[in-house]
Amino acid sequence: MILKKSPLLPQGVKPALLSTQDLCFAYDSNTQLSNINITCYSGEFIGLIGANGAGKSTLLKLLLGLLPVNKGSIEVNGQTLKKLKRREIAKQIAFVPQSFDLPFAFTVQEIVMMGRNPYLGPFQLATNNDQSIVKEVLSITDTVHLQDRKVNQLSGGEKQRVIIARALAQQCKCILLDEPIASLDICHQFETLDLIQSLTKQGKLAITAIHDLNLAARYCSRLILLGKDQQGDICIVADGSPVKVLSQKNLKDCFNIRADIIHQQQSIQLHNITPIARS
Amino acid sequence: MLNSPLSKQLFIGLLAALFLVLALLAILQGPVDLNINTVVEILKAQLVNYLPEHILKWQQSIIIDVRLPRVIIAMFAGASLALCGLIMQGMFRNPLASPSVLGVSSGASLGAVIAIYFGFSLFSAWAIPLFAFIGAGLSLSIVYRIASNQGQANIATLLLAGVAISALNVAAISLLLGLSLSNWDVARMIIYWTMGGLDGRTWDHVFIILPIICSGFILLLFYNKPLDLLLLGEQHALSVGVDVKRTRRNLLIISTAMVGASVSVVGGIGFIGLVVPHILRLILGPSHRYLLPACLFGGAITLLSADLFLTLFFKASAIPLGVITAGLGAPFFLFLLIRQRVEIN
Repeated sequence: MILKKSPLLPQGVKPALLSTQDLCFAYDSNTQLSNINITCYSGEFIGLIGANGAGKSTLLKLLLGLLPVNKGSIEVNGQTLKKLKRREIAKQIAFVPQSFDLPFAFTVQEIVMMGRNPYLGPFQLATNNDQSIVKEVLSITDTVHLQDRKVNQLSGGEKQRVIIARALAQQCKCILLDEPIASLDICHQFETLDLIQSLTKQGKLAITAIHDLNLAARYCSRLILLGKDQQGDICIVADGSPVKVLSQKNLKDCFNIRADIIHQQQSIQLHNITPIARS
Repeated sequence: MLNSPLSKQLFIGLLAALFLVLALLAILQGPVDLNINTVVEILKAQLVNYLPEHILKWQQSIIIDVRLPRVIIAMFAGASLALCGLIMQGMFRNPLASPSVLGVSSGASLGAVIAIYFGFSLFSAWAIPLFAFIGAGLSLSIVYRIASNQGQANIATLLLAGVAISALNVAAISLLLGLSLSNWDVARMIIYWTMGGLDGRTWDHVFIILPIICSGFILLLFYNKPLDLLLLGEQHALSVGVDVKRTRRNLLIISTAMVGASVSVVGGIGFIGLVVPHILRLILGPSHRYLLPACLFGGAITLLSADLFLTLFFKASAIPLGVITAGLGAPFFLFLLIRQRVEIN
């Protein structure tokens, strides 16, 4: 097991929950992720930021084991990800995908119960324990009143909460989210991020790809900025607190924007964002 | 739609009862009138291996050797087509998928015709089912490769790929038939086989279809939860612990074997695989725990009643069974297409 100090939390001996060592991956010869080293601890709310095509979704898929790693390794809870079966991974890492369209009429309760799948055999019915876990996550995500509704009749915000509830029913320590607020209105964006933040305060690790830099700065305890190096490979440009990562230089290099950086309490906000004309 | 688990179980029980009644009716029905007492006595006699004196040998032979295999084949072929339609609709996440629409049935037909044309069918009774399985498997994997992108199948691409593969298969069948006309024995076998239907089917055919479809159904039961999860999409299924690649491959093999077995025995009977799962999904909801047994009985009921309809109302003429199922199924398919177009607009 590799014990590294988090750049933010000096926990000393606290073991890493999810870590990568010299991770490399390439779809084709042009774009590739090279030498990604991340170490994540429980209780962190990590925002994965970067321009379109900077590899945020790819990195999340690698962390979930959905894509084959070319070089390097990923460890979850001290075990090598590659050696775990999908059922075992599903007990360690939950995933909230970006889109959620469903033309089939499952009820909300059935969808959330699917999160218990890694723990149940092919013919095994839900036990009392499973039922009570589902009840609990329904109330955490404020979806109890929806439980008998058909999921194809819900609004976007309600669907997002249901799918987060399903991820919570897996009872994993890590939750990965792929732009969970991209399709939500502003109020539901706050509600969803509040929910994820409260989960991390209870000791879970959340890693989310996110586009809105202001919301990322406001909610995340740590940001990881992905961008391209001189060779055009994707690498980690910056990793640390929002104050450290969202610097004028990084905004210019990775997003091609200029902004006023206003310090508020312990966080920062970007104002007067303007694109830099490409020369 | 039924909501409580109890009402769903009752509905499946009702289907099972209807199926038994239809099976009995089908055994009673035929050119020779045999009353119900005689039929029941003959069936009983078969079980205890003792024939009462007042029943004639030819009566027994009509029931046991002619009507019983016909009914058994009808129910297994219908059940397998409906089950395969259910699996394909789930895997492609698309309610328009079915063995005939995706060109799988015609692929199986082509395989069978190849087995007859090159004379493999003379060596073993298993040659036709084996080649039908290979033809169905090749067609399905080609359509699947073309149409699916990260586990999502685009409706238009899927249907077009199915149409193209079907056209190719049918053309190849015509080609082989044309080439074989110089050798009338082979040509006659091909023509006779392509007509399909349930006439003249024997216990040999039962022994081909029965083990494959029974074991296929039992294996499918093990996949009831992964099938539900695949409906949500590949990423969802993966994230709750389904090994999507392996599951897909196994489901493809099972459904191909089932289509191959039924097509090699009864020929291409279209649209059962499309209509039956669709109607049952409207009634029972999308959960495969109920849909799998419901499709088993529903498919058997549909094919039995289509056959019964033919023998009752068109005794004299030899109308192929596929005409009835397509006559009912094709308008339903068009209805689904129109409804989907309305939803998109």
